[in-house]
Amino acid sequence: MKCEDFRALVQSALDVAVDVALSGELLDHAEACLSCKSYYESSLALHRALHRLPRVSPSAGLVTSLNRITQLDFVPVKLSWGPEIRLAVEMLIPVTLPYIAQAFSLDLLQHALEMLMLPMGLTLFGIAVLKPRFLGGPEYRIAPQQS
Amino acid sequence: MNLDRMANTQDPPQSAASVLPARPQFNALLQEYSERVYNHAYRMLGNREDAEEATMDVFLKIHHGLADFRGDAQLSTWIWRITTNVCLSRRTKRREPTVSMEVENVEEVIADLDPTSNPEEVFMKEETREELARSIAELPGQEAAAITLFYLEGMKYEEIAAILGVPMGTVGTAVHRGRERLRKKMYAERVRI
Repeated sequence: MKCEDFRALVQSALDVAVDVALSGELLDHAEACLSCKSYYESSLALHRALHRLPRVSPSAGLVTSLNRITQLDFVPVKLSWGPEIRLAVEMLIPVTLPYIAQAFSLDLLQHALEMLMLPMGLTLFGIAVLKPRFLGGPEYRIAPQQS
Repeated sequence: MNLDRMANTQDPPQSAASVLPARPQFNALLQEYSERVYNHAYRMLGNREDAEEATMDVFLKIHHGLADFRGDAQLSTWIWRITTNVCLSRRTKRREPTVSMEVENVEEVIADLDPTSNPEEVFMKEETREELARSIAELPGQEAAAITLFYLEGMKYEEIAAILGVPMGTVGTAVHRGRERLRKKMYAERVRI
């Protein structure tokens, strides 16, 4: 028996039982190969330890918070685009100012505004609108239930 | 997660009727799954604070989605899928390094250094068991999920495959690889000591 076959058989045996005793060909191989014997013993010890890992109890605070979920109403953030769109529009105003200036042929003002406002406006727009969408954020806000 | 802080938001509450599931059903799920979900999150994330936040997140999603649950999958599968996805998502955001498999032939190293050692003794100490629990959280996401569902929840590969949305063979590979990473890490560290 090859070492890799022995190890694959040990892994398969661990999938179906907590205790795995070697016999027959496997036992013969383990007695002849110290490395595989060590592999079997350490794998079995780990397997038993994983089965015995103790469970942990949630804190009283978490239990209280979980029980309060039913007393709260949900406001899914996914549905509340309004404030973000309003903010985005407000931030786009500086971006449009250069074009307004151009319309009035105020070249100097136009260039100054273009240099400062366009990158700033786009950055703020990105932070306000794109970040919550793609970099995560709360998916729900919880509002107090109205009596 | 601070519920009081969240509850003080100024957003007007929407009508609860459309989103709230039947409370007895949700309460029953809370009773049956809260500790199990918390334990799963604790094993996958490695600390109580993250586990508590993840557990809250899971039950908020369950509460929100229960009314729309159509029964395409078993309720338990749906809950564990949410739990696993929440934990995987949190782990992705943390981007912590995972347990490597660099140490090769660790059993030969053990045998060479300490021929009288008993591998079972390694896990006798409580601190080693805690280290093992922490190490699960350092496994790659799918392996951590598979190991946790297999050992903590005692699930079969078929159930884990349904939860993770992967073939059964992939679950087997994840459990084997995860177990091998843990074995190498635990024994390699004992040898270094």
